[in-house]
Amino acid sequence: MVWALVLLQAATLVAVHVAGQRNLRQTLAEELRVGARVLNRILAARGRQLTDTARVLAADFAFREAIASADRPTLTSALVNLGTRIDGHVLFLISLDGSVDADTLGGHFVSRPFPVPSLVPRGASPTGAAAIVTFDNRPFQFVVVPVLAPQPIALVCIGFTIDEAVLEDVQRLTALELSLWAPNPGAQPLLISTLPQDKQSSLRERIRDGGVRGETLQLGSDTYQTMLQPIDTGDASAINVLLQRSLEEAQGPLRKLELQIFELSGAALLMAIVAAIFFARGVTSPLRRLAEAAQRIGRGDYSTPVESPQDEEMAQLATAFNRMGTEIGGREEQIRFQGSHDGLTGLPNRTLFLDRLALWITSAKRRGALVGMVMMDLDRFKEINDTLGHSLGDDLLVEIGRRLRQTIRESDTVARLGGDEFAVMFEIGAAPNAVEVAQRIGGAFETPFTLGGVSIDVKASMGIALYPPHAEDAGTLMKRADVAMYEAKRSHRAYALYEPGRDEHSLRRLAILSELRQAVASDALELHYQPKIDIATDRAIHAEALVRWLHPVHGMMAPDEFIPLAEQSGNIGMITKWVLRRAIGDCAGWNRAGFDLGVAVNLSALDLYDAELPTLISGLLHDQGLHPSKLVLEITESAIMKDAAYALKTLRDVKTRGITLAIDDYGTGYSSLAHLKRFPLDELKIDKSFTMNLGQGATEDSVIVRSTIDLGHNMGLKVVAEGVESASGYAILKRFGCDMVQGYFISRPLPPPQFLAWMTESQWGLGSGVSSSTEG
Amino acid sequence: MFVPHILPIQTGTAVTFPNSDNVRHQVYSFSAAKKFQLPLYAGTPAAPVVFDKPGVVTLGCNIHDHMSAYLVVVDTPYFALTVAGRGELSSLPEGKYDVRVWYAGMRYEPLPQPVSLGAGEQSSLTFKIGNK
Repeated sequence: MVWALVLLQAATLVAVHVAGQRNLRQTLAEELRVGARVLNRILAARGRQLTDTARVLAADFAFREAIASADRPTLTSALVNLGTRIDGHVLFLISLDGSVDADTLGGHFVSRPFPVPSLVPRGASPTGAAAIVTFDNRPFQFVVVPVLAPQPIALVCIGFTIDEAVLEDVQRLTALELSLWAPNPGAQPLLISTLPQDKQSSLRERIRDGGVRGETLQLGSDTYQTMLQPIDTGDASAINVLLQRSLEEAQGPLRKLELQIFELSGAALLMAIVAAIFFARGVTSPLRRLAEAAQRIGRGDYSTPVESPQDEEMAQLATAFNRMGTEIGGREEQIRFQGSHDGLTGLPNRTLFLDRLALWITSAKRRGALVGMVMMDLDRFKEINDTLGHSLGDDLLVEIGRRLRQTIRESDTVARLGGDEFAVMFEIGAAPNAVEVAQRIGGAFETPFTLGGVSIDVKASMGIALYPPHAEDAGTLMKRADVAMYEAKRSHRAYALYEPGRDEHSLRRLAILSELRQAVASDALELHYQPKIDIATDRAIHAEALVRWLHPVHGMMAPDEFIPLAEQSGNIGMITKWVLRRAIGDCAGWNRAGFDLGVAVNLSALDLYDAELPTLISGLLHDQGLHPSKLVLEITESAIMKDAAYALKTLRDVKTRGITLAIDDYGTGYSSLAHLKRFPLDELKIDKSFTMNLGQGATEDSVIVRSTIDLGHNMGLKVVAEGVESASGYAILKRFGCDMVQGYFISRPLPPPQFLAWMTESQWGLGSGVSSSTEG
Repeated sequence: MFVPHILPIQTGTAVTFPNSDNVRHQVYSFSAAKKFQLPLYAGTPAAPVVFDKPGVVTLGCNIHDHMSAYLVVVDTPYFALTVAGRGELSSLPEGKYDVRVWYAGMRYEPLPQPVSLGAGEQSSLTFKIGNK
């Protein structure tokens, strides 16, 4: 910035100098012009004055008398005398015809024409005439006046040399140097000049060399601005006056001005530098400090404020800056909090809980203390949330968080792990204390919660795990607590302490699931078929397909052991599809072999949500060439009721394809008759719990069975009784009018080869391709 | 003022110069025909001036530069001053004559014209005058 100033000053100086020079030249040119005018005026005035003086002197009587005497010596002496009086240098007496009668030059011009003829007629006028002429190679001012007696009898011409005095006159008035020269052909130009001698010689040389043209003349070390003024001469001779002005001299004031400006700019520059220093102190360093502070904040140091500088504006900036730093720090703190705490309840989240648990374990390890944790989740929270709505459900969680926080000790930590899961960590002296803790925590759920005007009972299932007995690290401890919690849930207890070994159960469950997938993919599952007998004809008309799994390690696994698992993990679809494919295939095979049989396949609730399923089934039937009426789909009552509307849609679709539908395990679900009415069902299967003990005096069961059969019939459904285990049961069912029976009494589920064998050999079987013949 | 401005006289005439102005004059002439001076005077000077040579005598006053007059001294009794450019010479005996003219400011005298007069004869001559 300082350099900019320097450049500016330099530019100013240059501009001033240039403008000054130009101005100077113009001024000098003007001065020269004025000088020329003054010169001319002075010469003219001199001429007039000389003329007047000459006239007066020429009017002297005695002079006139002398002139009239015509005596040559007298004339000459009169002239000489006049010359003395007037200080003229050369005089002529001119007769009226223009010839010289007498002169003061020794008679040299006598009887010859006057050297300046043009002056004769002009000089004869009463006022006379004057002109500058070149005479004797010198410049003269010639003045001619008449001698009147009283008429002109002669003319007197008086010549005055023009010397330095005339020029000096002009010089005094104009401060110019003047040089007058009359060029002498072939000789040194005659020079009269006000210049000093050395300059005169230079000028003389210049004139001789080629004249002096142009406006600038260098003489010696001086430069002059010049103007050439030719003089009007009476005899057309060339006389020039060179007016000149020394540039150096003229520049004097300008130089002074430039010096002043230089000094001023120097001072200004100095002040600017000083100001810059102050500015730096006042602004630059505070700015630098702020930049450093910004860097500190960037590194995460929010605690060091910037000191307040002097300047008010800078102080404001510093204050704003510090505030910003604090706010950023605050926000970072907030973000960190949000990262480690649950947004809804404000409790620590899973991450923080785990971190802290790890820290506690490390600390407890050193001190040999026990760290316990409780993992809990709320019972039936989904239902509560659905009932209350999510907003109140959230409020409930917040309230639970609050109560838990109040329940625990200062040193303990309660966290919300997510959803409806909470966890508490605590330090205890001995294991039994853990139960006390759990009980105390459970106390938080004693009183009902009042939300939105509703009073709700909320219960939680708690799982307790301890370090070091149950786990060595935080992660494992949480897992064990989780297992304990599921155990509590399963056994409908408020809390359960982790028992070593439980873990394997979960692990086993996970293993089974992946093995199941494997099994489906590799066709390792099996279908066993259990025949359903038509009571009227005592013949098998259907076989229910039941899936079995021959596990390499665990042996033959019943559906109970893996179907629920598959359902929970959403993998039931693959099993169902596998079963359908196999069952339809087998049944088609039976039919081709001459057995007029249908096949029944169980569907789960989840299968009902598969909109593609009906299409798939139709495809399979078509592929295998099995008539749809030969396929029965069995769906449990509870499965239907889960989402009645959707189930209805799917079932209707299935029905349109000509497939038979049966409602399974009837009596164990929550259906209503209205529902039943709506569903396009063909069969109703009474749950085995009702039929198992028939014929052994279970009167309530027989009442239920009987009325169910009637109900079914009244609704146009065929009724199937499952789980028939005795002949008496069979007989009773026959008496009640049940349409079909199924159970161990008839046959247990058999693998396909054995099934076919049974079909051939059994009394209920159909024989080998021959129908209707019965044996007994 | 000299009155008249031009006065022709015959040689030998004595002329007086009465000064009727209330200022004094000093009359002079440098003419070759008569050089004379009348020192500053008022009224009538003592003696008249006799002009005994023919020629033109230019008169001036030393004090008053503008005053000038001409005395034209002629050798003949026969002369006249023109009025409005006309002059008359009368009572000339018969014979041959040369008529000459003079005027003020004349540079060269016009050529004389001869005239021959019989008894009782009248003649008319015209002279062209002007600056050459």
